[in-house]
Amino acid sequence: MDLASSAGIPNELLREVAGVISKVVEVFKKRDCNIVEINPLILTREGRVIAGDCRMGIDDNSGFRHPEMGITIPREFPWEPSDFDMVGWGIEETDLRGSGFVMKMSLDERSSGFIGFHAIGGGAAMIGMDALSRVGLKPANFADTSGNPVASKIYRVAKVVLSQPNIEGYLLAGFLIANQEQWHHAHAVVKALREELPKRPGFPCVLLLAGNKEEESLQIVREGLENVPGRIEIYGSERVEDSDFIGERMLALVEEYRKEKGT
Amino acid sequence: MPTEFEERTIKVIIDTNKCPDCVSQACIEACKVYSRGLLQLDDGKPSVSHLSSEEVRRRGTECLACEYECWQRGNNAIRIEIPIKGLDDYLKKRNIK
Repeated sequence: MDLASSAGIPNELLREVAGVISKVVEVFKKRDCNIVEINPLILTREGRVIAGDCRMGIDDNSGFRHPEMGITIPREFPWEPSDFDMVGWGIEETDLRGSGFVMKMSLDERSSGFIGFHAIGGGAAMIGMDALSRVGLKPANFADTSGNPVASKIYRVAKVVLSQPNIEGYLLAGFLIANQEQWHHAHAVVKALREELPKRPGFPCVLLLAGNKEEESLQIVREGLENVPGRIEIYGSERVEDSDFIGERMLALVEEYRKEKGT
Repeated sequence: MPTEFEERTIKVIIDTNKCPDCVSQACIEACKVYSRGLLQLDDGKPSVSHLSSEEVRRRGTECLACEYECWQRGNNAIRIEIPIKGLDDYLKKRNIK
């Protein structure tokens, strides 16, 4: 009542509005929400107070406590999780050693120009997606391996990214100087590409890796992929701020690959 | 018989028949640099027999470095299996090879 009163609600509506506020708080606590928003709250001509629209967000980490909500994957999704999304979630579900986030960005598997996208960190992901879109390419998926994940988790993400049938390239988008030892990315990506590239000879890969143990990590990637049959370009911190260059190289390799395949 | 051990989510399989000829023994050093030195030489072969299986699971960091070093500088004796839940079914369903 005090809250409603201090918000300037007229006396005749105080009880009803205070009731709404109390219920919102109850729902917030009971459902482990991070947001409950009613907007607009409507006063009808008949004097009733009703919610015109509302939004409720649940703390992702509390999803397991609410089976009654039927949440398949406790993340924000623009659609019902696809089979691909379910595989991606399987990496994260019980393994909390750093992030290994993978989800589809587009359900379109007919258009050309999709790239298997593997970023290292959320900021790097945004820069990487911009780099692709500026040259007319598109991320087929979102992926992020940051927070110092173990190599096995990074490998799983790379394998799932590379499992997409319609991609025309693979971009490891380490667009920031990561505060994690990058040799775990190096070992993981080398293993994944050594397994996958023989199935797709000439497949374009642009690998940008910068951060702790960068020199050693780049050496692992160069050495480990030396005789692997792909179009592989490897860059470090000298290109970490040059997203235009990385996008252009990705496009150039994709165009070569298309020409070779006659597509 | 190959040596096998499991870390938390992976299985490491070492064909120790290939190890006596190995001059680099790079897996041992890699395990110290990239992980916690689980692998030790036992009669010229990499082994975790000095640890209980619980200790191996607890200490292992799944760094994959021993497999890489064995490819590059050893006798290609190490294979690491990393299962990915649901991926085989997804590929089969989509008819992807």
